[in-house]
Amino acid sequence: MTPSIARQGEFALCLRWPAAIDPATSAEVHRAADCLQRWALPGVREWVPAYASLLLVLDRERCLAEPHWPKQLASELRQRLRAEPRRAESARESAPIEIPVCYGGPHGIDLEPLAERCGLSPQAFAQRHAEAVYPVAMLGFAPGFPYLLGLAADLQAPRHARPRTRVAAGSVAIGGAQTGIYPNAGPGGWQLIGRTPLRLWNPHEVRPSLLQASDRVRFVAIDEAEFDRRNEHPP
Amino acid sequence: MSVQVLASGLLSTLQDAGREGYRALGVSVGGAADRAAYRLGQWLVGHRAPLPAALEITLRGPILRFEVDACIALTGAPIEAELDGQPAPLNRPFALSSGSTLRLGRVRSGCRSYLAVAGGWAVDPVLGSASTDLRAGFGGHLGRALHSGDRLLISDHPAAPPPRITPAWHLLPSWTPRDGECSALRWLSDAPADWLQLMHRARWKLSAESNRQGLRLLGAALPALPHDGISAPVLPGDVQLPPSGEPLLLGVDAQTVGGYALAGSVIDADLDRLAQLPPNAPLRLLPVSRREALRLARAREAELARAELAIAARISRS
Repeated sequence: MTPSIARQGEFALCLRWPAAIDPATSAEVHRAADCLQRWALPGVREWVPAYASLLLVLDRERCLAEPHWPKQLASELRQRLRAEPRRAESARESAPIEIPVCYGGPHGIDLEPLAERCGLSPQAFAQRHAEAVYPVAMLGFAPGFPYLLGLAADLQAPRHARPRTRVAAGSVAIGGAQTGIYPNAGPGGWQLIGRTPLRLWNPHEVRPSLLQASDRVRFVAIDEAEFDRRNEHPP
Repeated sequence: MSVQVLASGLLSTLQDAGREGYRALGVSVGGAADRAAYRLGQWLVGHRAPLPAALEITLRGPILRFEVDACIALTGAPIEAELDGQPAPLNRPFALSSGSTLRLGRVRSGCRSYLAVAGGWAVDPVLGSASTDLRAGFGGHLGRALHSGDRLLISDHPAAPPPRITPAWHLLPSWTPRDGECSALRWLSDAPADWLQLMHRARWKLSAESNRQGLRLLGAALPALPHDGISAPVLPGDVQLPPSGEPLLLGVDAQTVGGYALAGSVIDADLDRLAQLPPNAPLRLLPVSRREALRLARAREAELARAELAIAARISRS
């Protein structure tokens, strides 16, 4: 699937695939990002993946000095992407990253009412949530915040009408058709079902984000004692 | 080598040119909202690239007591400024001595001023930058705006020696909205022609709910634009159209992805104007071609490059 390519402002190109929030489209976006990584095209400073689009931030000075270059680059990208051999899905998939989660109780205050809504026990709900492997479509909204795909339809739940003013860092949550993890404490409107002791975001680390786009996540249930042992969050 | 914050001002944060390269991790570039004013101030105190942090001041400035001799410069929005009770100059470097108090009051027009200090405000960089990420709470001064009682430190970034006397010359002031005028923001848009007609005829007022993340425009409710509703990457200057129909102009601290329809983007040459629009400022959007946008961006860069050389030459003669 070759994306359409359009300018965004004076110094960026946006690649867009047919609009969809699903693993297949997301995989296309990540495949294109991998190509950019390999091609290392001069003048392409960074790229930002989203559900069905990929923004290329271009070198400002070059765009100013060579006004025709972005259009030439777009043509070159179209040609190269068309020429890319299709890879088998399995060739790309990396081992899922395991995220320990203490489900329910004080760490997941919305789990019980949510489970009841779905006609499941809280344990069964947690088990269903931990069954799937979730691809990370993109990071956004806040540094290190992963947008995860693949939440089972029967676990989906609307956001709270009024967001909570303070959600603990590491909270695992469900909002609509998505599941995600809040890297930092702050306001949040999603349903809180558990909490990971892992720190997803630390700007002082060499690798500041635990997760990145195209990673895959598997949640592993742990108890409160293990949460306390492995707690990486600053007090 | 410190400076005591006696009063914080409305929103005073340390900012440099921002942190590039981490958008895919959800990190905004951020940095000084009026990039030109920030750079000019740094050049006035003798800095060359890579430029250190300035103090970005919003609408009402701080009161600072210097416990060391220093050379400083104020750029951006013209601001009430007093040094030990005497009017302090704007848009030129000046020296102050240990024990001095700099009292910054309200901006007279525009929105944001910049306080550069020779040597630079001392900051431990985070992700390669001294800028404050207010939303995520890192960078700059403890990841937040100044509070009274805080202390700032001046560091040893190489700078020109302080002027012996305040020079007679000064820079031309930065762009700020003119009293009673409706500011024009030039932009690029591929939206449908009939929608654009409505957009360009509209007269907006800047909402007081605007900030470094985004400028909300109050006025007509424009009709919806076709949109797939799926979050896509966005950049500062991008113009979104939320369901309310009132446009949202993204600022330097905007999130990296957004779910609203994208109507177009303010041209690079006018991005610094976004930083200088105070609450209730009247404004309108003016369409230009991409060719014109690039010409204006080049012209602006050339003007700034000339200013940098002229400043450096004059400082070395002081």
